[in-house]
Amino acid sequence: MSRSHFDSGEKVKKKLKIIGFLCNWCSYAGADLAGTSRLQYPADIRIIRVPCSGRMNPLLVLKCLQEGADGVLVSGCHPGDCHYQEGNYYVRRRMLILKNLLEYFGIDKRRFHMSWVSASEGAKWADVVKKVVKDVRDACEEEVKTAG
Amino acid sequence: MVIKKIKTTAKDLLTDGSVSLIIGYGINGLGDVTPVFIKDPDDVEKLVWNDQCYYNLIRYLSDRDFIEQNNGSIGIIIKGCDQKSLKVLLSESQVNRDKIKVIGVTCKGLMDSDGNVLAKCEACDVVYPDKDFCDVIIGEEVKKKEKEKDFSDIDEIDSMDLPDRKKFWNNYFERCLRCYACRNICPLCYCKECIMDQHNPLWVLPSASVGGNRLFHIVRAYHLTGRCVDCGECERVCPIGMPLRKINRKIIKVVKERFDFESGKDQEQKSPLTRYRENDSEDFII
Amino acid sequence: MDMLILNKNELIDNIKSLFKDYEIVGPSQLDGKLYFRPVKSMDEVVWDFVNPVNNIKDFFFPPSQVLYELRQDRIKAFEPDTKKKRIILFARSCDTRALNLLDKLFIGNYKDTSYTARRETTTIIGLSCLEPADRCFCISLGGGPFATKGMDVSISPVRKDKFLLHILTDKGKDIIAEQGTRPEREELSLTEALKQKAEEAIKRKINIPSDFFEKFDSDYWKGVSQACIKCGICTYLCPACHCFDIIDEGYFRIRCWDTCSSDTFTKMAAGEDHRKQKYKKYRQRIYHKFQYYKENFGEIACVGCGRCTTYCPVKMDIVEIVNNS
Repeated sequence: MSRSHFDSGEKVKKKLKIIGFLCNWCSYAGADLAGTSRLQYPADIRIIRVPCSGRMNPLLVLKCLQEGADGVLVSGCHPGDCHYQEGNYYVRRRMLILKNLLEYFGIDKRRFHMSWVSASEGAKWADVVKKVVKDVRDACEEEVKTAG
Repeated sequence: MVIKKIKTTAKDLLTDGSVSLIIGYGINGLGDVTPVFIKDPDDVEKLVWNDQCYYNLIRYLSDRDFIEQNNGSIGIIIKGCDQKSLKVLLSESQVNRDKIKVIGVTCKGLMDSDGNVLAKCEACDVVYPDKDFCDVIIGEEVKKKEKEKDFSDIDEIDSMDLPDRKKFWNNYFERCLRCYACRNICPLCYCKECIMDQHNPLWVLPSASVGGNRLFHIVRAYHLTGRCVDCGECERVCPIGMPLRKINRKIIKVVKERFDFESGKDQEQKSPLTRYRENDSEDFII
Repeated sequence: MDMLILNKNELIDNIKSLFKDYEIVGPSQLDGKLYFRPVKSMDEVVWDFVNPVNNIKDFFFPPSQVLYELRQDRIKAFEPDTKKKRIILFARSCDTRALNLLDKLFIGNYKDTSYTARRETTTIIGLSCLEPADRCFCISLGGGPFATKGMDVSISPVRKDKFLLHILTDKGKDIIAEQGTRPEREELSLTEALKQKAEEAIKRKINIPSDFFEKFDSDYWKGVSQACIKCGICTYLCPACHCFDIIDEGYFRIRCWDTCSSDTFTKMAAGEDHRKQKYKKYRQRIYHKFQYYKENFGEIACVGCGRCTTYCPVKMDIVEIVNNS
């Protein structure tokens, strides 16, 4: 009847919808570097630029999952390197709680990830996306299998 | 006798003008305990004290409607569990300590209608409210026992397979009516405009669908991170019997283990989400 | 009005035979509480109870109902699934009376299509109340434990294993098989005695003062509404409450239950809200039930089931509040 809320639907689509919230100063620049370096990584991720990972409201993550995203990734600067000094420290605590809570309610923990990617880590960005896409695909396939 | 002392204390506070209103426990037409609000010193006869005094009356101190209607000093009767939520409200500057008179009463445990002690009371470690926190304390002094918190029911859910866990919670999310009794009875849910009532932008689906209900409970639990004191009122009032304490206590467990924080101990505490440590756990981060 | 006597086994067999053609809704246990919900067999049905947590309005006016789906190029209306007819088993007279009250609104000047469709395809088998609860006060509102208003078939006990059935409508006639015996005078008087006993057990009375409407501006409402926490339990569990909201969730237009106690009930564009204070909301609820509905539809919108007081988080007693006004 309604949209599938938090559920991945009846079958796993060929192209997943993973929303990535990238901090402007490190992760977004890192992803840009991966692009200019012509590094290959799956195109299932759609990027939203935020000024700092500390801006991330867990509600945004939840809203993405409810609206039909297969997975969510939040990426920021390494601890100690935040452009705004402390943003990533706070979000680290917030997302820890969120991750535990999502798992508790039976939502596969592989559908939500967090990473630290700096502006020079283009290769790491490509690896992160590959890992995230694989994890999300596995999680969705498993969910469809156990539901059906 | 405890009830006699409660009545005399209430009467004295009203007659000498220290407070203009007393919030306590009374009886309704059916003989059930209900919150009472007393302004007239002679009405203190309405007050009762028994093992059915469930309500966390602190809820009224964070209610804007209520404070607007009663802007004088308020005397409030609290149990140990209520005291914890009052400390959280004070740490969040939601209550003016000078405008309330705290009447603490020793509580030996609440019983449900079948005569069983409530689950939250079996795990209680604040039978006797803090002497130096309350303005008046009534009832015998009970030595504080440091009880190890029992999270075995949380561990049980954590050990379930993912599909079983989902089914366990879906069973309740299918029946949740979105009456918001859990939100409204909570002393710590005092936002002027709750995110559930915001329609522009629409965060949580207003209708009682499984997905909307799931999001509501996740968000509500999240908003209580590092604040919930497990007073158990939410679970008591739920008409469909959802085990809400299991949700809040999961977060209490994570906050204790990862951030070494327990809410309601001290009114100077700061919320764990407004603090950080350089060595906070990063095991979930790529 | 046909009457017949069936013993318990005959009654159970009769109901069992209905499972293949009808969807059966009856009182059954779930997680330690009793609900009206679809059941698969008579083993799930509870016979000895006061009243389940929910009431039968859920099956005619559901908590959340999709009206239509609206996309750029098409609109798809959702009709209620009434292909399979339904029987509601063991509804109490308070709940069935409330359904008649709701009919005045939903099948009045304007016929609500989904409510009407569900009404037409549902048959109600009522069960008389042998042991009313302390909270019940149906008699002072014109009802009673053995009343039959709103039922298609009413089942009253004669003895522990014998029941007197009243077949009140054609729909009721369709579901009761041609068996059983005509009631003897002795059996009728046994039932009558049980009825008297049940009616005497209801001690609570609601007494609406004759000058109720004049009390509107009184400060009384400020005092009695103080404990209220503005949740929706009394309205959602009340068999006679019927307010709803129409909301858009993505592509779907949905009708869902709403409560006059909520902060958003009277909120209008630009943030205007004429009923912001809690005492005004509570006063509105009482007046809607005991004054306005009577003015508009001729009957008080309360059937005396007592659910509002029992499940109220702060145990606000509607009888006490109305009687003392």
